Amino acid sequence: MNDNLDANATKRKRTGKVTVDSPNNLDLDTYIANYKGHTKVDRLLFIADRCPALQIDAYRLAVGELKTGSLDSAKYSHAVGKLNDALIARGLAPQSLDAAWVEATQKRARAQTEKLESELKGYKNNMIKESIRMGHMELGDHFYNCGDLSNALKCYSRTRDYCTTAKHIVDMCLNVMRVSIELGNFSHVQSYISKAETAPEVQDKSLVQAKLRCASALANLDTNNQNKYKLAAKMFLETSFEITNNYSEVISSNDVAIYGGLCALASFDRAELKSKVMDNNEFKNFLELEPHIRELIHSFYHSNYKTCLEILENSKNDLLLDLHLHSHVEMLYENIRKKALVQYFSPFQSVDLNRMAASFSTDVRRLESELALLITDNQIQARIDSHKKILCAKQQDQRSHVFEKSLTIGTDYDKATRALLLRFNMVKADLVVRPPKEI
Amino acid sequence: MSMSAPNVSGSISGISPNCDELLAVIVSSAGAPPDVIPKRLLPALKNASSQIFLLSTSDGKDPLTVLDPEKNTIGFLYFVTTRSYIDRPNNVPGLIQHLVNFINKFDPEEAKLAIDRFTAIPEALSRLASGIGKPVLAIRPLVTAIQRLAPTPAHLTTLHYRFIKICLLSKHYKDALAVLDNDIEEVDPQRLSINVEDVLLYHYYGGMAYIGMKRFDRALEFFSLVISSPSQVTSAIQIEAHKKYVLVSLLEHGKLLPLPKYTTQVVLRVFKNNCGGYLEFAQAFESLNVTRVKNEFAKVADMFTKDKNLGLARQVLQALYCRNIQQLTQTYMTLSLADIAKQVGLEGPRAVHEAEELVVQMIESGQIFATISHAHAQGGGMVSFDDDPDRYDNGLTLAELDARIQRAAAVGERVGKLDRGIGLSKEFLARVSINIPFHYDLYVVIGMFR
Repeated sequence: MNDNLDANATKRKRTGKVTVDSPNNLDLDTYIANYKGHTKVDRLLFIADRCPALQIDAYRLAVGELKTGSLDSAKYSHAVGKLNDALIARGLAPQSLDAAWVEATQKRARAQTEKLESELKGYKNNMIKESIRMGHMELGDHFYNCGDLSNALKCYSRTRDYCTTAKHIVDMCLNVMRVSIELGNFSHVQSYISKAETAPEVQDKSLVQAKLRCASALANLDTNNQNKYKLAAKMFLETSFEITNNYSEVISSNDVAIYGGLCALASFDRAELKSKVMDNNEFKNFLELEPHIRELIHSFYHSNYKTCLEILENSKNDLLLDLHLHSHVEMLYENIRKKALVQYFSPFQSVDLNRMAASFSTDVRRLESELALLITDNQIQARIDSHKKILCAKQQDQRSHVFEKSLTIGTDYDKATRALLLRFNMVKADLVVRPPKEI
Repeated sequence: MSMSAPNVSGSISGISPNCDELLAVIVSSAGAPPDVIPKRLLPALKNASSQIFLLSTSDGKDPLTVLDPEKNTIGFLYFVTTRSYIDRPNNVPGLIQHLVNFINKFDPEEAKLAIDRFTAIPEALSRLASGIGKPVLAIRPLVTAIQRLAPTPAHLTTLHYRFIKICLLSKHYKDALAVLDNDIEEVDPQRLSINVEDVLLYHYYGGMAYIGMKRFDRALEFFSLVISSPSQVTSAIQIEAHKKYVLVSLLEHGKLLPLPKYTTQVVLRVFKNNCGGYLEFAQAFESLNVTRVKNEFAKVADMFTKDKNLGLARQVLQALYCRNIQQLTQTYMTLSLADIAKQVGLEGPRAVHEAEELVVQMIESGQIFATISHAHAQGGGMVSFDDDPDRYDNGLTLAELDARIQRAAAVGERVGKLDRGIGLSKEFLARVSINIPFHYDLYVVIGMFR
């Protein structure tokens, strides 16, 4: 089981493991208070794994949480083991494993499983749809509570055949999504989101919608789509503030602000940033929770790049400790920096590299190679005057460009058509490369 | 080649007619009904011992002066080719004269009836011309022969690849252009007896000739035609063409251009399995990383040598620096020569000097537009890159554009004609009508096609 847990953990880490020496301003207790259920434990374990400074505290909290809130004795033993490793490494006395609790819990879990299974059997014999659905769901909840995710997923999926109202469908989808997110199976999440979205009118629709938006955003983050940050940002921005603490088994509203803000910053242009983020009343509520993200967006919008980059630098370590965002941090930061460079230059015909370097707190040499890359990627239409250290906008002559392009297209058409004519005639005349005839 | 080596020493067989009789048959066939030639003349010529074609008539005349190359095309053809083919022909200049005369006068329709014999002309002529140390003598007449034999310049004949091969061997690439610049679109195996090797070899040799003239875009086009020919299996010619395609593509475009998507999978697979080194070299090249390319080059150098592509590969290696400098023009307005040397990966004490040489070369050949200034001593000189000064606003552009439009229109017209031809063909109509279950559904089906 322990191996299994580790394998699960490594699967999520697409990028190499980064160790964070010290968090910037992460307060573990307040941070973790925003979550409940499995994600709370997972996040604690994740932080403990990556941040030696918070390791002991995080493991302690995780162990406490597991003992009070779940029947997952395997994970409990695993966490205690890890905690003791950490304690011993620091020369502290290890904490003993509560063997009695483990045994009692295992017994209780087994008994509960048997009870629920026999109940379900009974319901099935009676053929009462609603009871069968409830039975499956309770069994699913129980498995989930025990940390047996694959069985939980099976049970939740089985309720599907017994759903009679829209609410049942939505419940089923949300349950499956919760487990799938935990398993990191985001394509599954995606398909259940669309199922839930097609469900007709349900109660507290906006809350359900908000949950779906968040899940969808997380799923988008996980894809390899080029526009994933933009799609994720859009989803987060459409999330209603009603979600406040109602989805804390997956995501907190602070996360919505951070994830949404960063993704938007990395993928939106200036106009979109203004209209979709800064003028978005719903999202403003989220930003109130994370004032530094608000400030980040404002400083970026007002071209105050130095502040912007400073804020980014100051919160980097915290973000690296985030369960969902950690693997995207580098990419997001790179995109934001590139966009800042592009935006900085956009109003100018020419820019002095020395001044630009100062605004981005870097030196001219490094800035030059950064810019060269952007130009090669065709993100900045400019050229560098390496002698005078000036960046000059490229005078793209549209007319010449059109001429050049149409001549190329014409040539290609000509070549391709002639080749096809020959090929057609060859096939027609049955001139085909064939294996040599057997003698 | 279908023509067997003439048996000079063999005795005259009893059943074959003597020279006078043969000449009589030939002369009497001229202007006779169309089936006389295949039924009477050709068997007589084929059965005749090759010795007969070397003799004179009984009254001491040379048959080549008796026969008229225009009226007695096939007969003349047999005499002249057999004579050119023996080990030590007499009166070589005279024979060449006869051959050239024949080429200028022969009747193409009649020649097509003895196409296998006719196909021997390029080799015969080239042999004679090389024999007297003037291989170039063969080239012009052969162009005429091709032009006269092919119904249109777009038709491929059996002479095509043989002629290009002669040009390649004698390094007279430019003379091949008269043929090469007409794109082949028509293939007629029935009347011109060509086969698929004719198509493949012609385009392969043609591509090589274009490489010789450094017209890499055309070479690429030719190799691509070879590789993407309809195939059930892979021909060795296609593999060789593919090797050159990779190198030329890197040389001309700096990257491996994709082949047409109808290229047969098996051709691509066989190449990938047997010549993966070429593809890895191409990948390295696309990264524009000098060290990586050099490493990869060292790995496959043996393969290049074996394939006789080493010279071409060396050119590709050299082109890497040019490619990198071109990249710099997109990014920089001015850059010192020292920086250029560093950025493109030139090393050693002469790096700056080499960079300057390269830049000068590229400016001269019109690949980049730049000026070098030695006013600032630092870094051994500053290079300012300029834009392409061609603003597309002169008469030349207009003329070029007009020519291209006409070309495109002409191609479009040919396609349209072909399309109509298919639309009216029995096969197509039969295929279409199979899909119509009942005749009264015809209108529905026609509606679907609209």
